[in-house]
Amino acid sequence: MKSYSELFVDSKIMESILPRKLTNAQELRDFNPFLLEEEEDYDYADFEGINDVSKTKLF
Amino acid sequence: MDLAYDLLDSGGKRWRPVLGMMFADCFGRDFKQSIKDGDVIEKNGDILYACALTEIIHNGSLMADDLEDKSLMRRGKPCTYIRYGEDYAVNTSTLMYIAPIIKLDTYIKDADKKQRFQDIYQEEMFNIHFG
Repeated sequence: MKSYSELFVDSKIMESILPRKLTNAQELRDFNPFLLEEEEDYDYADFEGINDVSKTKLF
Repeated sequence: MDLAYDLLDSGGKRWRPVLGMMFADCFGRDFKQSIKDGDVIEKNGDILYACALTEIIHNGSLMADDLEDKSLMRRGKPCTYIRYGEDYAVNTSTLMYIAPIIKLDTYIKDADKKQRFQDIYQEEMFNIHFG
C-alpha cells in the first residue's frame, strides 16, 4: 500500500492537475483557459495576488 | 491552491488512488518503470488522472462536509473553514470539484472513454450531493 501511495505522490499528477503555484502566463492558461478573453491578457495577470490570496489564515 | 494542498498534504491514506493503481497494475500498467523513466504522465497519465481526480474530489468533499457539519478537527488540525474562513473553504472545495474535470482532454484522448468518464463523473457527483 505504502509503495503505491509513494508512487502516486512521486508521479506529481496532482500538481499537474492542480498546480501548487501559478508563476507565469502559460501555467495560468493551462490551469484555466476560460479565465481571460484575450491571450495576451494572461501575460499581465497578477501572479502575486493569485498565489497570496490564500494566505489569509485566521487561526 | 494553498488551501487545497493544506488538506491534500495533511496525511490522508490515499486509499482511492492506491486502489486505482493496484487495479491498473493487475491489468499490466507498469508505474514503477515509467516513474523511473520520467514519462509516467505520457504512459500512464489516463490512469493516474483518474486516481488523482478521485483524491482531489474526495478531499474537496471533506472540506465542504466539515463546514456543513461544523466539525472542529480534520486529520489532527482545525478544519479549513475554521482556519481560513467559510468563504475560502466553500470556494476551495468547489474548485476541487471542478478543476480536475477541466483537464479531461489532456489525459483521456479516446472519445468513447472520455464520454464514459464524463458520464461517470456527473453521475457520481450527483450521487454524493443527493441528500
